[in-house]
Formats: sequence, C-alpha cells, structure tokens
Amino acid sequence: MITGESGRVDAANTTFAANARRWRGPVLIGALVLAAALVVAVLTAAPRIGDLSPEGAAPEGGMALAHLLEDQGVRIRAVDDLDPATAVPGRTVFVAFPERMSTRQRDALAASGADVVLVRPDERSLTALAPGVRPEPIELPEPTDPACGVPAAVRAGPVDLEGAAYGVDPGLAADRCYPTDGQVGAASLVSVREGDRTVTVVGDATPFTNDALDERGNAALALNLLGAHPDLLWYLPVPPPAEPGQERSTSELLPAGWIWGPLQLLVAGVAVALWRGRRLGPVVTEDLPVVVPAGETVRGRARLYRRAGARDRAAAALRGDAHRELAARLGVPRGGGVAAVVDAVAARTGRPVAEVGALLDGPEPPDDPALVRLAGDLDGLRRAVRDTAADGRPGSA
Amino acid sequence: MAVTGRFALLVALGALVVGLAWPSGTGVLVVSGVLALAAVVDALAAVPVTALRLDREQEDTTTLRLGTSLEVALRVANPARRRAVLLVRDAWEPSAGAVPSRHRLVVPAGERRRVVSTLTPTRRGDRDAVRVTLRSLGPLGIGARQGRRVVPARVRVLPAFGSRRHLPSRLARLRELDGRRAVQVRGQGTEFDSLREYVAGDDVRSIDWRASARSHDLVVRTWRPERDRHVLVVIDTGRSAAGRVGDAPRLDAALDTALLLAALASRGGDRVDLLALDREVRASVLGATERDLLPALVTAMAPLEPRLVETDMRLLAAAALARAGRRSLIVLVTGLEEAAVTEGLDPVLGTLLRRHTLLLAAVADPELATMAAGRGDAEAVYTAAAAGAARDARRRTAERLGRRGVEIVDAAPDDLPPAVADRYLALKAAGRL
Repeated sequence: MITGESGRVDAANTTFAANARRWRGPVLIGALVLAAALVVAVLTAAPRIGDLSPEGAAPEGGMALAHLLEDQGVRIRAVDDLDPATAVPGRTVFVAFPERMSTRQRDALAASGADVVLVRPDERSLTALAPGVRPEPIELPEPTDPACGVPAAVRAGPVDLEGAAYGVDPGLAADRCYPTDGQVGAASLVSVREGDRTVTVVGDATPFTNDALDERGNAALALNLLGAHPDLLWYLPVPPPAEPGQERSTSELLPAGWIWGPLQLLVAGVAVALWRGRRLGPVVTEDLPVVVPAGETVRGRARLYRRAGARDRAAAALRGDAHRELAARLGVPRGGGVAAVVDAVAARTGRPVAEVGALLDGPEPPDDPALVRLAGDLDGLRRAVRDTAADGRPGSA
Repeated sequence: MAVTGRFALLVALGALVVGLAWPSGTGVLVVSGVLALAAVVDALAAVPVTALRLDREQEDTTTLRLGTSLEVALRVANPARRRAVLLVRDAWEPSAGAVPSRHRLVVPAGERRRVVSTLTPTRRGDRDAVRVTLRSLGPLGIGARQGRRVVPARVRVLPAFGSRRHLPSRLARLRELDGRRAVQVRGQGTEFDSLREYVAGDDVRSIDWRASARSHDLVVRTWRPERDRHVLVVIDTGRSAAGRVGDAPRLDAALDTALLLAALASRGGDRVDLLALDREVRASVLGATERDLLPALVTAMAPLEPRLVETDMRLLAAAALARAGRRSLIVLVTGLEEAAVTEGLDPVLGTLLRRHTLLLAAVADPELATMAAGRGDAEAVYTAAAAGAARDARRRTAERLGRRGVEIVDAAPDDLPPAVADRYLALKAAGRL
C-alpha cells in the first residue's frame, strides 16, 4: 500500500519533470518573443525624442538647426497650438508635421498672414494652405540643382531632397525648385506667393535634420528658408482635445463591421451552446447497493472512546488482548485468572511480579499519553515473552 | 430538433459576412435567421426517428461472468427512401460499462445496419438497456431530429467465482475420501461398501472374520464415505452482508463460498440447495441436478444485493427447516456480530440444531488485525482498543455458538471459501453430515 502510494508520487514527479521538459521549448520561445518585442518597442519609442523639434538631439532632430538660427539672431518659439496673435505677417511658421494639424488648426494657420514652410505636407494641408499645389507620385532619385528663382534655393545649390515631389496647377504663380528628371512641372520645393505671404512646400525633412545639416547646401537652404524673418514659430501641432459636444466614443469611431461582426460571433456562441447543450438522451441513473466499510463501526467506537475519555475501557480492551495472547502462548489454562498469567509471565521473562501485574492488571491510565505508553509496554511484554520462548529458555508452563 | 457543430461553424463564419459586407443589426438578423431557417429545413428533411425500426440480435437475456466482456448488437433498419445519417446512443445502466457510448451510423435507404457496443460490467446483477437515443441528421448536416426509443435487452452478470482455483485440490481430497484412490478411509460415519480379499497393508481391524470364515482367504470390508447427503447453503443478505471488506461487500465472499462448496459437494454425491434471504426470501435453488446446479446457482445469485435491514432469523430458520426435510448440513453464511447473534440467531438455534448440523461461516475483516496493532498516538491506540474489543466480542460469540454445537468458520474473504470447503470435507470424513 505504502509502496503504491510512493510509486504514485514518483510517477507524479516524473510527470512533472517530463512536463517541464516538454514545456521548456515553448516557454523559451515565448520569452524570446517577449524580449524581442520589448527591444523593438524601446528602439521604436526612442526616435520620438528626435522628432524634428528644436530640442531634438537625435539624427532626425532639429537641435543643430535651432542653434544655428539662434546664432544668427532668429528668435525661435516652439508652439504646439497656433495663437493667431503671434502668427502675424513678418513672421515665419515652420510646420514640421503638417499632417498632425487638426482642421481648425489648419484653418487658423491659413487665416494668419505669416509665411509658412511646410515639410512634406499631406493633401489636406496642401488644399488649405497652398491650393493649386498637388503631390506627384514620384520619388527623386538624386539631388538636383535648384533651377528656380527662390533666393534660398539659389544660395543653397544642390541639397538632399529625396522625398515627395509636387506639381502645380497651370495658372498658379509658383516657383518650382529642384525639378525632377523628365517630369515637367514636378518639383521638390514649391514656393507660392499669395499676396504678401509666402507658402513654401518642401518635399523632404532631410535638409533640416541634425544628421544632414552639414551636407551639400542643406544648411544654407534651411537657414535661408527659416531665417527670412527675425521671428520663427516652430510649430509642432498637437491636436487639442475635442470640444464639448463633439466628443465621440470609441464605438462611434470603430467601423460598424467591428461591432456587428463580434455580435454575430456572440450569436455563434449561442449556436455552440445549443449544439453542445443538447444531450443525446437523458442521464441514465442506477440504484447502487449501499456498501459501508466493515471497519467503520470499530472506528466509530474508537472515536467515542476518545471523546468520552474512556481510558478505563480502552485500557481494559488492550489488557484483555495482551492477556489472551500471553495466556495462549504460555499455556495458562483459561479461567486461571489474571494472577496465573502474571505469575507465568514473570517466571518466563524474569521481570518482577509487581511490574507485570501493574501492566496487566493495573489502575486506569490517568491521561492519553499514559494510555499510549501502556499500549507500548504491553507490546514490549509480548515481545519479551516471544523472544524468551524463541531462546528456548526453561520455565515455560 | 437539434443543431450540429457544422451549424455553429456556419454561424461563426457568418460573422465575416456581417463584419465585412453587412455591418448592421439587419445583417446579423438576416444571416442568423437564414441559417436558423436552413437548420430547421434541414432537420425536417432528415429521416424521421419514428420511421426507423430498431431491434436486438439477442432476444433472451444473455449471461456473462463478472470480469469478462460481451458484445451486444442493436440493429437499425431504415425503411425510408432517403439515406439516414444517425448519431446513436445505446444507453445501458452505467455499471454495465458499455463502450462506445455513442455511434455514428449511416443507413442507406431500405437497408439495415448494426451498432455494436462492448459491455464490461463492473458489478454483479441484471443490467438493462435503458433506452436508445437517435439523432437523425439532415442532408446538409446542420439540423437534426432527435428521439428516443426503448429497445429492451438485459444481460445477467454472474458472480466471478474467483475461488474456482481452489476446486481441483479439494476435489482431489474428496476422491481420497471416496476410495477411488488407494487410501481407504474408515471412519465412524462411513458406509459399508463391499468385501474384497485382504492385501498386505490393509488395516487388520477391517478384516471381516465372518466372511473370511466362509471364504478361503482373508476378506476385508471396504468403506466409502457417506453419499447422497443434503447440504443447504443459507446466505444472509441482510445488513451484515453489506459491510465492505477490502474492495467487495461481504456478500460477494459469501456467494463465492457457496459456489465452491456447491461445486465440491455436488461432485461428492451430495445434494445442494441454496437459500438467500433477509426479511424475505431473495433466492432459492432447490433440487437441481448435479449438472444444472452451478448454472442454476450463479443465475440465482446474480441479482442478489445486500440490504440494510436486520435479517429475520425466524423466517430464516423456518425456511431452512422447510427445505431441509431430512438430516442436513446447513451452511449459514452470516455475520458474527454479538448483538445480532444474541437477539437473532440464539432463539432459533435450538430448532436448527435439533436435527441438523449447522456450519456458520462468517467473513472476518483483516483490517481489524491491522487496527488492533495500531500504536503511536492516542487515536491509533483508541482504535486498537476498539478493534481489540470487537475481536474479543467476535471470539466470545464464536465460542458460545461453538459450545452449543455449531461449527464455526471465521475467515478473511479470500480464505473463507477454501476454509468452508475444508470444513465440509472434514465433516464428511467424520460422517457428521
């Protein structure tokens, strides 16, 4: 029984070990994936600091340009929302990320009289700020010569403009610089003069970045474009919170398919429940015979003895057991009484009669430990009688 | 009406349709509704369960011994003009151990197919087929009809008769008693068989001097054990038989004992009858011939179960006396609980012992010895004391019955059948039957 139990425990342990071995691979792969995801997350999060802003120190940042402009006496203010009071004619607004502007911000910028420099604007910004200029689906293979009349470009000469190119609607008076090969009308820098304001569209952010500022004519182009006026607003638009009444919940923003599709999945869940829930006939019951362990009454009596503290009965039962066994072993005739057995045991084992008598016919044990000791002592007495009998010593009755 | 996993899958795929093509409440309703309608139509197109004809191959009750397996077949006939795609559950009582519990079955139009389940019963007795549940799938496999039928069948699980392995050695000893071997037994109760010439080695006390005087040679009498005695096995199926010793109730050991004894005694030329009762007679086998005896016994024993009632010993004595007309050996398999014996058996003991030899066989619990040897803490010692007291009471009861002339065999479940068989052989040898 005990070996069976331990065997089962061993088996359980082996199973655990085997499980651990089996799961080591998947767990390792999971850990690797997690680590890789963390690394990627950290690496992709870092360049956010280097966005084209006056404080951006990363290769894509604009810190070097900002320093150069300040050295030339240009006052730079980085703003995240445009105050109409500050964007007045005679100032330059540099929009590094036009696509981040909200419609309201775009309109506000269009309404102001300030000069605007847009870096690779999206279509909506173009429509609002430089109508008539449209993006051309072409990437410039090589930096080219300015080939136009914009002073900044003329001074700069060839620059690193490898981003988008723009076309201009016929009839719009615009300077097109750095034209692309073969494409008539497509250029990577377009300057539109509109009354007394100038809107310049640049197809690539590279000339303004820390990394590329010192190459070719990049610095000259950037400084001339942004340093045209003593005041520069470095506009880093942050969409303002939605105005009250215009807030929309996530569910409104979600495409309808994302709401109704899962709802249909819920219906599918109901269908699965119907499928699995329909039993193939009722559960079959059976009357089983009542079977109780035969030793249950003995255990019950033992618990009663213990609860009642019936040490007298327990001791009497233990002594009776020992008495019968010893009497049978020593050949004491039944009915001889306890005294005869005590004498025979004392004679066989050489123990004092008083001691044997106290064991076999003593007083009730005062507490449970004494009862446990009595049981042990009676066992010892039996062993003693058995061993002396095995030795073949004389004196057996 | 039921739906299938395919239906659920289609509804789930409907999520793609709704999500991509028709993202609205109407889309959900239409997609789900169309599929539900399709399921209903599919179910209606399925072969009706009521149209199927079911029957069993075995008409009568089949029997098998506990611990063996049996295949039972259910036949499904499809008189419809469509193919029937079915999920069949041939449900038996759980302890019949039927596997597999469900079957996939395709019955072409107008044909018949069998569904075979293997029964491995886990307990003795009659096990019934409860019902057959049929699910008939439609042609698309998304909807189904369901219905159930009762196709009666019964298997009778006979006692395992594990003590059969003791039979050969006991039969050998019976033959020794019987004089078919060289050893001649002469005892008080043996019967005179025949006279034959003296050979060296014969007991000189068996020389028949009168016959020798008439003959030229010394003639000895030969003896044979008494034959054609009556053995009545009475099994108490009351409360005392319900106690579990080891893994099985005491009743199983009692049945095993009765089977071994019956097999032995019938070969010994004795007539064996069986009686099982508690507050009423549960089983009775009377006057079976030697060849029919064991099958009759196991069949009668199969459905016996212990009941939690105090056995009516007056009824027991009356029934036993009614069946034991002449002097018999009554083997009573019951308990040795002090109170039950004092109040139940003692008052009727006199009438039983007046004409018959009574052998009382009781199933002892080996766990009692384990408990009585328990030491270590107070709980174990109290248990040991209680076990000691119980053993003492049992021993005293046995002694008291023994003094009144009852033969007592008190043994653990595995030892009881051979012990009773040995006691029977001893009684037979002593001519006390």
